[in-house]
Formats: sequence, C-alpha cells, structure tokens
Amino acid sequence: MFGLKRKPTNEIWEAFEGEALPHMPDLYRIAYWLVRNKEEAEDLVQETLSQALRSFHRYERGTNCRAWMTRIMYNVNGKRIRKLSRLRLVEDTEEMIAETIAFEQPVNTSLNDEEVIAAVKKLPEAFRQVVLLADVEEFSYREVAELLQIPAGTVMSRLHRGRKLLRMELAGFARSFGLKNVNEI
Amino acid sequence: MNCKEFNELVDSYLHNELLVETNHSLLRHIELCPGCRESLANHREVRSRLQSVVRNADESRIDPQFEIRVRSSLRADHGSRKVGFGSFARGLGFAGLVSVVLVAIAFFTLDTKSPEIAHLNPPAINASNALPASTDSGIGPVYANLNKDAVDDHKNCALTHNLETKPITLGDAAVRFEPANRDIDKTVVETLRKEFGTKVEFIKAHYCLINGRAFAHVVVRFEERVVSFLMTRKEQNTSISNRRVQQCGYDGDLKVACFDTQTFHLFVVSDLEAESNLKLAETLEGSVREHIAEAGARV
Repeated sequence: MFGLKRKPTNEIWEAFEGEALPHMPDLYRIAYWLVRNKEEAEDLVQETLSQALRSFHRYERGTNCRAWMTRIMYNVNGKRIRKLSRLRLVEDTEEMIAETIAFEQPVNTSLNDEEVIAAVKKLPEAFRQVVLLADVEEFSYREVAELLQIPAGTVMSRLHRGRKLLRMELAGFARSFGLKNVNEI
Repeated sequence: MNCKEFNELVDSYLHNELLVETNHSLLRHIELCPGCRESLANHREVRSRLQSVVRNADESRIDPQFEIRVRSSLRADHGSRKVGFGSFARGLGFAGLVSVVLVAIAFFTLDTKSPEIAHLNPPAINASNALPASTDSGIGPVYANLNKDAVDDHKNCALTHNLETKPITLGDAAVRFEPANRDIDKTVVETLRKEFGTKVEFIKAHYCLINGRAFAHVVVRFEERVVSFLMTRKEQNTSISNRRVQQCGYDGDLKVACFDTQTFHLFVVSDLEAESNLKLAETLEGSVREHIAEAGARV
C-alpha cells in the first residue's frame, strides 16, 4: 500500500532466528580461527550477525545460510583488516617452505588434542585458513575460493600444501615422542 | 593411476571434489596397492581427528553468555528499526501523519483509563511483541520482547504494584479468554510443594496485562525470593516449535527460564541463581503441560 518492498520486521526476525542464529556457534569457531583472539572473534561475530540481519531480506531461502554468513564475515574481517592496515599476504617464504615438502608422512593418530591444536596453530595463516575451511568446516573448494576471494586453483594448491605441512607438524610431534611409524617412509 | 598421482588426489577424494572418472580411477588403484590403501585410511583418520579436535577445542566454543547477549541485542536493535517507516510517512503525507498521531493519542488516553483488564479486547499480542519462530539450538533462542514483558510483569506486578490495568481473576480469564487459566495457580503451587515442600509459599495469582501482553501470573516465595510463573498465549498462526525448558535471558539479577507448549509461552522469573530458577521451570514443565492439555481437551 505504501510501497513497502521489504517483509515486515517481525517476519524477517523470525526467519533470521530460524535460519541464521543456529549457526552462531559455527560462526564463532570460524571467527576464532580467523583472528585467533576471543574478544576479536566475538566482535567479528556480532558485526557479522548485525550485517546479516540487515541484509537478510536479500538472503535466498533454502540456500546455504552458513556459507552466506561466513562470506559476510570474511567481508567484514577484510574491511577490519584494511582499516587496521594489517593486511598480510602469503609470503613467498611460506610458499617455498611448503614446496620443499617432498613426501607425505603417515601420521600417528594417537596424538593428543593439544598436539593437534598446536600443529594447526603452527601452520602459516594462508594455509591454515584453507585447511580449516575445507577440512574442518567442510566448505567446498568453490566456497573456500569465494570466501577468500582467490582462484579455485590457488585454493587447491594451498590446501595440498597446507595439508602436507600439517601432516609434517603432526609427524614431528609423533617423532619427538619416539613413535616408530613416522620414520618408515 | 600411480602412487604419486594417488598422493596428489587423496585429499580431494576425501573431500568429494573429484570427477566421477577420477574417483573410479583412484578406487581401482587402491584395490591393487596396499600402501596407498593404508595411506588413504591414514589421511581419513587424520582429517576426522583434525575436525573433531578443532570443533571441540575449548577455544572454538562460543561463550553461552555472549550468545545470549548477541541474540538479545540483535532482537532489540531489529525491533527498534521500523522497516519502511520512511516510505510509510512519505506515502501518508504530513496531514495523514498528524491524523494518525491524534488517533493514537486518543487511543492511549482511553486505554490507560480502562479500570480493568476486562475492558480490553481479548489478549491479542500486538505487532511489536509478536514472537519470532523458535529453533532450539542448545542454548535456545532469546525472544527479547517476550522476555522483557515477562520480566516487566515480574517487576511491576510481583515485586511492586505498578500495573496500569487492574488484573482479573484466573477464573474470569478462563471464561473470557483461555480455559487453561483456570486453576493454573493450583497446578503451579501443588507441583512446587510436592518437590520442595514448605519452602514454597503462595503469594498471589491473577491475570494481568503488561506492555499490551496478557499473562496468567502466579507469584510464590521460594527460598526467601519472589518467583513469578507467567503464562501467555502464543500469537495465532505462528509456526513456533515447542521449546523444552531452557535458560532464555537475564535482566540484571533477574533470570528467565522458559518453555513452550503448542499454544502458550511459559516463563519462570526470579533473582534466584540461574540453576535454581531453571530447576523450578523444569519441575513445573510436566504438570503445566498436562494442565494445558487437559484444559484444551475440556473445551
């Protein structure tokens, strides 16, 4: 009647609460591993949800809401980083380190949780992001490429190298505890 | 496919990113190569371990208090943004707007002069208080407006006597509005006494109105604290699921535990410890559900 194009406020909230808010714990986990600081992760989640709610009338129902909000989160974080002038690109040395890994080592999976977390933290940021997004959050390669705004080919190469680095770290832990099978190959 | 190619593709295979033909080729290879078969199992195990450890790490877990705060804040922010108000005002024009304001003033003037709740229409829930859909997700949703109404009723009715509209009895409310109001106070008090004995002292019960929302309100004293049990009808045609008892909000020292039936939202509000407040709601849930179901069956 008055040319309102958006849905009523309450209807949007209902849909948002039903579809978007259940992903808050996942968003926080992704945010934490993105910024690796609790307070910053909470700020990022809050800002992401706030923007998602404002844009929710544009969200296409039935599509992957978690991926949609994660994209918003990466955009928000990108702006935040640019604001803080803390943009950090993958350094050549990190790429070079990854290139030098000659072979896959079998990993002893009886490592404890702290060792696995420590190995993840040791990964260079660019590799850690793709490994976590693909292997932990189970985003497709295409979704990871969209989130990080890099070509799909780059995602695949970083994933390959990131996984190798991770396995190397895990094998390193195992070796330091004298586990036998890490030296077999 | 050879072992080198297998090593290049094994992670993409586990991630289900390979073409069907490549998948088949890889599977054929591992049938013939025990080393790569073992490697595949190892990759799968590492991936699964990584997923489980990162997902369950303490640092990956959201703080429940933060989640509650964010939900409340989003709901409040969203509620305060009246979508399309600009278009509404423009479409209506200044004169129209003035008329609306005058009508609203007249309405509120009449409303606040109403001596008792019976003068109002049935307890319709106004648009600003309408409830969002529920999706149980661990902590559970926080319905900021609804929680606020429950807390306001506890403050203005149980703790002080600051209601603008005179309450009516639960019996009257049962006749005029919902049959489930009848004897809900008995159900609440008897259930609590059965569990906690004489620690529960009945204070009052009635049907009252706060912020345009009507509640059956039972007030008891428990461990020297005033506790409100509040029951309000769900908005019609809503698709809200039935929440089990959960912690659903805080307001200063006041804690709100809530649950739903098919037709009602129910709250326990007090300044008890959150766990104790939740325990009261858990104690009440079964018998209140039965009470409401029986009242519905009698209609």
